Amino acid sequence: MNGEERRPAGNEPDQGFSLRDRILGDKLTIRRKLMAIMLVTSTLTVFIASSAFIAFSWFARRQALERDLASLAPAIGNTCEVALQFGIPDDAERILATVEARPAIVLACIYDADGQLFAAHDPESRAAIALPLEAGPDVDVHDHVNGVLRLTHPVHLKTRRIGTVYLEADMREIRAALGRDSLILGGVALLALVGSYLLSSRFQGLISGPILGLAATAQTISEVEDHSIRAEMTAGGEMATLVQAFNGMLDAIEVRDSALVAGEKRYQTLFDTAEVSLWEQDISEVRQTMQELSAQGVSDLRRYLEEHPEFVARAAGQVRVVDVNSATVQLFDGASKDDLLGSLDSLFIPESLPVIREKLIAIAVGRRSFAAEAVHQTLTGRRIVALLSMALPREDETQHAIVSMMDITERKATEEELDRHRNHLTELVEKRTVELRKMVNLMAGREVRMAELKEVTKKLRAQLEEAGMTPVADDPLRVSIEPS
Amino acid sequence: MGFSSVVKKSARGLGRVGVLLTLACVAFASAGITPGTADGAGLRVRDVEIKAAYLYNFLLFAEWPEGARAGESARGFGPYAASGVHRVVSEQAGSQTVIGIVGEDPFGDSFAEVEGKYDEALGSKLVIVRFGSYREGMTLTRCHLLFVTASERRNLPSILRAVEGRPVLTVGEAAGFLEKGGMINLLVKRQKLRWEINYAAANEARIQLNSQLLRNAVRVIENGEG
Repeated sequence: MNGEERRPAGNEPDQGFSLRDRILGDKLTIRRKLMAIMLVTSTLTVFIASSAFIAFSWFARRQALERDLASLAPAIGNTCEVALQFGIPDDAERILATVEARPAIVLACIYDADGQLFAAHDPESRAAIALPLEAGPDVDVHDHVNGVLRLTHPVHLKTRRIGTVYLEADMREIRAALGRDSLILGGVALLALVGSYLLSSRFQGLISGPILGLAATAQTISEVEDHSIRAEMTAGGEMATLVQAFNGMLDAIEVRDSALVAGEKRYQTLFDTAEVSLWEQDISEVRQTMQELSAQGVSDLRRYLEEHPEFVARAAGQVRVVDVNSATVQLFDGASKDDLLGSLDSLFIPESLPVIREKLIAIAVGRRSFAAEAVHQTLTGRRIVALLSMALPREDETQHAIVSMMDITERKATEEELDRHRNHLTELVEKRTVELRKMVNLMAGREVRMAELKEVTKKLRAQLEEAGMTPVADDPLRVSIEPS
Repeated sequence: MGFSSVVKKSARGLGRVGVLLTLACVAFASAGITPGTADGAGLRVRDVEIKAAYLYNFLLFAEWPEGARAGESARGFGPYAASGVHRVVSEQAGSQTVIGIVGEDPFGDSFAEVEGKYDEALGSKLVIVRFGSYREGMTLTRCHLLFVTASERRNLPSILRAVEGRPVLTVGEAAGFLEKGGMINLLVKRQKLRWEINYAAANEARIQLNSQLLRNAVRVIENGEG
């Protein structure tokens, strides 16, 4: 499994070129990534701040306009009391004309107590004869209709309502002000971004410099495979910590590398000089073959392998010999290691198949070890019997299995000779046993006949006695006839 | 159509006397007044009613010194109490505001609807006192507002002298009324009833006139100079 396969799915490069990919992907150098991050952050910050300011400005200006109208209306109403009471619209119009100082106000009217237009400052000729928005009995009422703020204020003299002030203001002035604000903010934002670009291009080196130095050091170490090289300390703070950690990691790697080399050397020495036959075999291909077989739905492997010897032979041929020691070369009558590296096909004979099947099953089911008495032939065709012991790797490990073989050919021959003698003895014992059994049977027959004879004798004696003849004691057939 | 009936019609049944009078005032003043009646002679009934409404409105836009009417409300036309400044239109229940008319009464029953009744805007009962033609010894100082009709032109100096220095708002309708010491003079200008003010006289009587009255006056005499 290589690095690409271990990469999480979410980090796999795709064909799209999103902002995230552009910034965080592999397409940009760290310098450009840092600058991009700073610029994007600055832009976003400026945009959010500007938007918030514009929104706040809009609401603040609108509220200010509402407050302005709300404070202006009572002032107009108080000043027009006499005009309303004495019916002097000219005076009211003069007072209303003072709203010209406020460009946002497009209509200022006074309606009498009946809600009829009394006086107006109406440059756009939009005044209605009747009060368009009824005021509350004692409070102002305002609303927004089609971008126009309308406000009515009841005018009271003592406790009596004598009229209503009605004002309309549109948002043109506010929109124009917001447009000016937006232009100013845009200019400021542009300047801020230019400044941010200049500063980020200068200050990104504080971070990217040490990182690039580390990267260059790592690249050099990788190329020359010299773990004695160390990164230079060019910055303080976290970067210094990073460099220290990197160098510390190199120290650890160097120590482990040395230990690994020593271990490898020790292992190779043990491997090469061992009296027992040792093999290093690559089983990745055969393990994959067995997994494919399981994937095809073969559940009874043993039976399948027994029924398909050609599969066993093909799978056995997929085991690749990576290394052997001198004891192995000697055991298999080879001239050198090279004679045994590669395929094992030439070492197998039909007698080897049962063990090969078991070995394949062990690989398929994921066993960690396997041992059996294996029968092979040497490169010279000599049949040998070996006690095979195999250490199998896990699936996530390097697919190299260590196999040891102990030649037990002579021992097996001795055992077979002993078996032959034992079998011969067994046959002799069995023969003698039969004969003995016959003798016993014969003896047993005599005793039976003796018992029968005694019985007959007994009966004869009884008949003789009945007949008045007394048999001689020692010889039942002899009788003495006693005179009666 | 009399003042009261017109008031009723204009007020649309709002019910309160003061309101009726005020609304009627606005309606008629806006409609204009019959020309050629500056001296008060030959006024049409409607013009008289407007003039009556003006007198009522002057009460709303003037302030009298405190204590000038103290103790009066319960006793009607009692003697004035000690000086001081207070709003004559007392908030006390049972108080009264007095309009005095000297000379031939031109108003007929224009005040009939409101006379002797409590007025919410004034905060007191409105009393109309018709003195008739002026005679020496008449007690005019009990009034808040004294209207001197055009028929009393000859007695004008005596009348004004009788209330001189006292907090009585004098309103007239004769030429030269202000010059003789009167405070507000009604006149017709451009077919509308307007007024002119002798601010110095009002000030001397410690009566404060609303600035809007001054602003809308045809003429204002300050410091005794017209």
